[in-house]
Amino acid sequence: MDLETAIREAVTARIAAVPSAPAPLRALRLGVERRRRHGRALMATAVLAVLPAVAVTYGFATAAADTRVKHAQAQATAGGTSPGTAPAPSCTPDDLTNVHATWAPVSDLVLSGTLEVTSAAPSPCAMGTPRFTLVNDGGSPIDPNLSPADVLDAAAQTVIAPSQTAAAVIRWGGSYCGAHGPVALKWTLPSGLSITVALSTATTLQCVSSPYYEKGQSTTAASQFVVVP
Amino acid sequence: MDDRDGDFDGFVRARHHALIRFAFAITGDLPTAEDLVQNALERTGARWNLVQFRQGNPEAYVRQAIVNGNRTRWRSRRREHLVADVPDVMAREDDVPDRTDAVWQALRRLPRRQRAVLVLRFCEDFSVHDTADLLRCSEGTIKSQTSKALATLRAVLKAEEPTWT
Repeated sequence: MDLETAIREAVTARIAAVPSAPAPLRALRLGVERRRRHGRALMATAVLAVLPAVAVTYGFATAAADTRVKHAQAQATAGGTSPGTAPAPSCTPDDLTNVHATWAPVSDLVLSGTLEVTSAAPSPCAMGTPRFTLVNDGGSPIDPNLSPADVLDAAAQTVIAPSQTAAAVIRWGGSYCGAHGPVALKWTLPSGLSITVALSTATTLQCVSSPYYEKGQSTTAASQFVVVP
Repeated sequence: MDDRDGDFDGFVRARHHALIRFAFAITGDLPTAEDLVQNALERTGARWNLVQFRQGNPEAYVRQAIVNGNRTRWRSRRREHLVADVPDVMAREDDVPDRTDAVWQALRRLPRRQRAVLVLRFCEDFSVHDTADLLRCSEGTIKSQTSKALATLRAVLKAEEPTWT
């Protein structure tokens, strides 16, 4: 008898003596359930360990995205001003339509009115600060020494959505002496390009001297653009 | 109890005794074999769907778990208490003959891995490829382990019985 056969016989003889007992199903079921619970607990522990890192990463990502969405919504729907640099591109003359300016005397020495504009741009654009100079009927500045209008809250940026109308309050005060009064204003956009807007009423202020203005002196000022509801 | 538990119970009822005998063959100890089978079946039952549908052969999975459990049995053995006197065991009339007993005892003294290889190859009729697959080693390892185990076994048996061929 060779060794392999002897091994087979020895093992077969021994395992044949193993008593046949009913399978311990109840104990097995309990053990299986215990192992399933253990596996679920391990999984839960792993998830709980990973969750904070995921939450922090997800939180940062969604917060940044949410901020961007809110910012865009605020710009698109309300057109409100927001501090800091507006992400929208600056409006160009081609983006704007229905540009007109009106004003009327507020007092003997002051004219006040509005500069209105409607966006024809396909997407929101930044209006920038309303910097303008007054020009006479010859197209020249009425006073070469007159600096561009002072702008209130120059740091603010107004973004105008498509089809929205924005307006800025303009003011000219002073004592202007000359034959050719301001008939238009030359509005310089942030892009550097300008729009010349005819004033509704060409007005020549009186040539007077006052405690505030000497003869020939004048100042201009403007507010920021606000969206017209 | 859901369907998978029902299937699992059926598998256990059908194969439990065969698995016990397999575990006994590779361990040489019935209580240890029962422990190994219990653990292997618990593992299998906990992932029954995975075992049944991905592997397709639950019994192979259980056998592999038994072999792996036997390989790592040293962890639990360290917790066993050694005693100076072992209880007497009464011999039975239907005990196996001396010659097969000598082979069995020699088998029990083999390293676990070699014993498992011999049982799988010569008692379970596994091919070299299937044995290597179950024990997760190369076919060359199975061949060398078989050769070493047979040489050791032959030497032990010849030492005890010089007439052994």
